Amino acid sequence: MSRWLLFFLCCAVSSGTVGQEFISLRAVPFKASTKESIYIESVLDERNIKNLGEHQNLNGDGVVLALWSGMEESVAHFYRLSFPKESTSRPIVIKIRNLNVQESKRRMDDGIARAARPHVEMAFCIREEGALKEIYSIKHNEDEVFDLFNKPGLYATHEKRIRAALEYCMQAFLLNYQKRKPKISETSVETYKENQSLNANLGQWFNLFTLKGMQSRYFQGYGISYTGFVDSKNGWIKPYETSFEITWAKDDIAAENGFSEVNSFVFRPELYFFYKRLLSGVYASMSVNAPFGFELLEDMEGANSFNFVIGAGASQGLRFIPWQQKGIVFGVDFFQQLETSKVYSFDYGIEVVLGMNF
Amino acid sequence: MRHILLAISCSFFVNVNAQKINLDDFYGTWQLDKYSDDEQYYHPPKKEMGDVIRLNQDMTFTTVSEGKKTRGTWLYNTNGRYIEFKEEQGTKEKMAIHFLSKKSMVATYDTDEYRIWEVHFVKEKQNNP
Repeated sequence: MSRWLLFFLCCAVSSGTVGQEFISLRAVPFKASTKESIYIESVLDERNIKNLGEHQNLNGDGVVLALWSGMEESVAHFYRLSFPKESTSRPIVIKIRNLNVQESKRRMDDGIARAARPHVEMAFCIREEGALKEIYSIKHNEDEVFDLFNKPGLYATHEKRIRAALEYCMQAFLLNYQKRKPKISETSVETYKENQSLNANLGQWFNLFTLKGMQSRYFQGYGISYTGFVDSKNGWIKPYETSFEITWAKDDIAAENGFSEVNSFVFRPELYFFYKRLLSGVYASMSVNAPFGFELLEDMEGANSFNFVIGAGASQGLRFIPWQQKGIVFGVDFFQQLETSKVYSFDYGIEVVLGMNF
Repeated sequence: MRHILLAISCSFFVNVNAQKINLDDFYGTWQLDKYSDDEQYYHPPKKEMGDVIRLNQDMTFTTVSEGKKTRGTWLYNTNGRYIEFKEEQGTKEKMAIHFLSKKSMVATYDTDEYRIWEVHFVKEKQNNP
C-alpha cells in the first residue's frame, strides 16, 4: 500500500514540475554610481504573476521560467554583494512589482531579428517610524537584439539581462537619491516615478503564410506571401513581407495586344508597408511596393519573347486574424500598379487573401 | 532537474569567458580607429576620421561625431557589459563593450543601423590617467 502511495506521490510531484525551468541569478557585484551608503534590508515580491513568463525552451517544449531560490532571496542576494550592511548605511526595502522575461521578433531593415526583454518595475522604500515610505519607483526594459537563428544565444542569456536590469534600476535610484536626499525626510515628499509611460510588452510576433487570388482590369492570377509582424495596440505596425505572383493576361486583352498568351512572374518587395490595428484581430493594411520580374509572351504565330518588368504599386486592404496563436487568416486588398508590361502601363484590381498564422 | 542543470550550466558557460573590465581603463579620450564585421576591418570614412569619445572620471562625457559635439553623463553597467550615454537633451544610447584595455576598446552601438559593426577605439596617450 505504502509503495503505491509513494508511486502516486512521485507521479504527482513530477507532473507538477514538468515544464518549469529555473534561472540561477549570479551575484556579480557592481560599483555604485554614487557614494551613498545603503544596504538592502529586504526585497518584497509584489508581482501578480509569480514567475518570469512562459517560453519555449531549446527543445521546443513550453516551460515556465522562474528564479532559483525565489524572487525575494535571489534579488536580495544579488544586491547585498554590492551593498553590504555597515553600521552607517541606510536600510532600503525594495518592492518588485513586475519582473518578467520576454522573447519576440522584430522587423529590421534587412530582414527579421530576435528580440529579448526583461521588464522590471521596482519601488525603493525607506522606513520611517516603522512604516515603509516609497521614495522612488522605476520601470525598465533591458532589450537585446539577436540574429534570427540565434535562439540558443538568446535563451542562455536571460539571466545576464535580468542582472543588468537590476543593476540599472539600482544605479538610477542612487542617482535620484543623491539629488533628493535632503528632502526625503520631509513627510510631504512624493514618490519620484521614472519611465512610467514605458511600453512593457515586446508584443506578439505573427507569422502569416497566405495565398491570394488576383483579378485586375487586364490580368488574373495567384500569389503566395509570407508576412511577419509584431502586434501593437497603438501606432503603426511595420510588417515584413515578401511575395511572389504568377498572373496571366485575360484572353481578350492578350489578343488586343497581338498575343495569344502573356504570363507574368513577379516578386513584390515592400518599400513602405503598414498595418494599423482597428480591433483585436482586425488590421487595416497599406503598402507601396516595387514589383519586378518578367513576362513570357507568345504571339499569334506561336513565337515566344521575354519582357523584363519593373514598376511601382500600392495597395489598401483589411486582414482578419481571429485566432491569436494559430488559425485561419483572411482578407481583401485593392491594388493599383504601374508596370513596364507589354499589355498595360496602369492596372488596378482586387485580391482575396486566405492563409494561416502560426 | 535536467532543466535546472541546463539553465545553470548555460548561464555559467555564457559568462565564463567574459573579460573582467577594469573601470579605470575607461577614463580618457578614445579615438575612432576602425570598424570590423565578421569578415574584415574597414577604415572609417573621411568625415569620421576625427571622431572621439572623452570619458571623464566624474562620469560626464564629450563626443565628437562627424564634427558634431555632444555632452552628457555616462554609466557602465557591469552585469550588462555596456555603457549608457545620456545626452544633455535626454537622449540615451547604449554601447556594448566587447574588449577593454588601457589602450584599446572594442564596442558595438546598440542601434539597428550600427549593430552589425564592431567599433575599434584607441586611447590618446596624453589623456591616459
